[in-house]
Amino acid sequence: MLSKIISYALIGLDGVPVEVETDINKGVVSYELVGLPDTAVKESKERVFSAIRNSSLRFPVNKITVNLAPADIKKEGGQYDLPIAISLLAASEQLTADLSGYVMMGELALDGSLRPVTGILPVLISAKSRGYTKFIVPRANANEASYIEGIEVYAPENLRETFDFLSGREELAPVEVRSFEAAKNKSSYNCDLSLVRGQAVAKRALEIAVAGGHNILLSGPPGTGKTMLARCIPTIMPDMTFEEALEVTKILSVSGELNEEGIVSLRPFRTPHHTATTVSLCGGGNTKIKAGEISKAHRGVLFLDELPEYSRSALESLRQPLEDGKITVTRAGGAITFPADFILCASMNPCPCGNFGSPDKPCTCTPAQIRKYRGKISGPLLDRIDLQVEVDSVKYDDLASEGEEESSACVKARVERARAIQRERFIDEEGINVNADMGERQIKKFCRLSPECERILKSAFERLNLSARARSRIIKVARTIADLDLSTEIKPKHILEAAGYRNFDSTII
Amino acid sequence: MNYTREEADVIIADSFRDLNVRGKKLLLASQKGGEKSAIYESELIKSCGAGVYNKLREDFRSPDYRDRIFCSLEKAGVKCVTAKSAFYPDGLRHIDPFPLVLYTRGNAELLKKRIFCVVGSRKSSAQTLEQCKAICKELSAYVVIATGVADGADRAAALGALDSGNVICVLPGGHANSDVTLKMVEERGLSISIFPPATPVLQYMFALRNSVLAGLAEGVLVVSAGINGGALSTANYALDYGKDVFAFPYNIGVASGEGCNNLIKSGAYLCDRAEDVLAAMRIECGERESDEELDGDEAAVMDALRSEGELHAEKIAALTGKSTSEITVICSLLEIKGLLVRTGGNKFAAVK
Repeated sequence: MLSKIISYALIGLDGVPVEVETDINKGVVSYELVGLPDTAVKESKERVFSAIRNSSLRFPVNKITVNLAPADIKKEGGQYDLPIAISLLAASEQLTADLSGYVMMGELALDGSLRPVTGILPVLISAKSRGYTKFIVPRANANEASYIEGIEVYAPENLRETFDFLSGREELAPVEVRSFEAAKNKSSYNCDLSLVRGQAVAKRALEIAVAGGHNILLSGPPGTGKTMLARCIPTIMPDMTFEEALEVTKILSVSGELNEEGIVSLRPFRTPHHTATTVSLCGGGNTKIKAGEISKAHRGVLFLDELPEYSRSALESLRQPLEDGKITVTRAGGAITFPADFILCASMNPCPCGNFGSPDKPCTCTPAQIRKYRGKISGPLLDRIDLQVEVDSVKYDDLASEGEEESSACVKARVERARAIQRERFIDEEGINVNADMGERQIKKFCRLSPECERILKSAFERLNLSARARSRIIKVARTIADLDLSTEIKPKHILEAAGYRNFDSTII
Repeated sequence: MNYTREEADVIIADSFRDLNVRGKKLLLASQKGGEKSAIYESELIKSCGAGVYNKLREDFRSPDYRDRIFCSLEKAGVKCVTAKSAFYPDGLRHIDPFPLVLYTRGNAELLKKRIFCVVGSRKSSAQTLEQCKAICKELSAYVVIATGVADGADRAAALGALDSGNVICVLPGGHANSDVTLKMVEERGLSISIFPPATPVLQYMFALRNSVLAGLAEGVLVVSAGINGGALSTANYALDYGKDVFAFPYNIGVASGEGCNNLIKSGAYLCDRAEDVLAAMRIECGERESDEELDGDEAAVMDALRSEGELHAEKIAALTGKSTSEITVICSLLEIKGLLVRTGGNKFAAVK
């Protein structure tokens, strides 16, 4: 007899339906698994055999053919164990029920229990859009599946439970839909701007960076709290919306990095080490194309500590995603687009010895050495980093001072206000959400400068040895500062403050 | 470019890298003809050997060799000022032996003006660089500023004097591809080398360059120098040639200023404004333009910086009772006006 079960394969972040067909016929006893399975899928036979036997069910002894269709997609992972087992039971007529409405995924343990699989959320979203409404997933994936409304998800513990449920012998309650708000309230960041003493200049720069979606470069001697400041960036970013959270969760779900809660409600903060390869940053892989760090930092922060130490090719590969907010990874097997809309926060020492600008340690570098060190970061990359600030070393008495530091929540409130202004401004502009996304055309349209501002900008250029690239950057940042100031026009003081965050643009004499 | 027969001879003699200045002079004298030429000839053979001498003589007389040399000069865009030329600065004749040819790019007229030399260390503080720029800007209204081409103080001096065009940069090696600053100097001012184009820089050439700087100028201002700075060598040459030496004063313990303080200790003039130099050169300077009007906040920041020295942005905020972002605005404005400078690590210092 023949049976058919729907399961799903993942290509990038999208699910593709896979039909698991099982045919049992008279003939020489055999078990054939066809349809481009990889090793993990081929090995499913042993797991399925043991799981069925250990669930007090019968493994048919006949000529068995299992086909995974369509045959041209490579099937990977253990997620086909459950559909294969169920279709075997149906084909051997132990299970006689209508299974056509179900989408099943799950890996079987030898004792018949179900193990979690990756990529449940993207599959649910893809399958729902194709009209599937009933799903069977492992119990351990229940949380992840519980945030989608309008579908029935069943999360049995093991194969036997699944069998009993499908054959109608036992009831199984569908997974309760949970609200995103509840998950959001449960989690919180474990750092706060109020824990950072001093650094008022850097904190202000972070506020501007987040308000306008600008990338930021922190430079300062070792041990000045650059990493600490960077970790606070997510805490002042506006809360994620449910749609944003789903986008982020999808990526982490496919990568198998999802937490217990089943949804990501905090903005991601990724810190790849400076030995990271281009592929690990951007995504790639031979058989299955996986998302890279920049996609895992989607809607959050990508923190590159010690920027000049990263390989040149890794850094240059960031340029296009920084511009487009997504990355298309192309391999012989196909091209897959991952979202990669993040705030880049980079940190570096001001010079090779690290002590330039330090109050107590002398810098031993020559201007040529400093130029060479800074030259490791290419102009085009620096072009995409709107704010460059110095983080200075903190003295002990500042650390011990009693003054009350502003909390992340206060800053976040201001950031949200500025973002609201920007949403209104860019309502008619396709693909532009924040000031940092503006191109030359939008700068002309939204950042009109008064003659006085033009004059100040011009004299700033002459006086401060600014490169021509710095111009649009200063204007964009000035626009954000004006937004934070709730000012509709850019005033001279906004230009002047923006010009203060550009210490890498001036040429070193 | 047209040179007289005599000048052409000098330029050709100077192109022989095998000879030192004395040898070049002997060669010129021996080829002049006349009764004494045989004596010079034999002396030259004694110092460099007959084989070399014959080759030199052949080249010296060969029209092909001459064409090649003048072509290469033209290609490099270099004009020669020989010791026979009216433009050759008299000051250089103090140097023993003085260079026979100055290879120049730019406005050679500057060599006839009054020249003052400003040098300093590559590792100077941002504040010193800004002060150096400012003082060179003022001085260049009256005299030509001569300096080297190194990073740091030399470049700041050149940039300061650039607007007026009264700037001479002296290269250690021969002319080659100029960097951005040097290109600007060559457009508006002058660059000099005592070596033919494309001569690679060797260690000993820096000392020669320093002697040329000291020889050219009526006085030398050292804006920064470590305990063994190269700028000190220029100052020492200047003392040898009987020129005035000036130095910026420094706080105790500032490494980039120890050389300057030592100079002052041993009798150099202390200089903290352009008038100090101009007075010593007996140049009447006009009334100083009154400073731009500062508003209350700007004045408060400048007062704080002048009384406390280098200050952190947050410290300025605390002293003036403003927020840090306001201080960023005011400091940017003052920086644009050229009144203060960033010294790294969010710290600021007054320039004047």
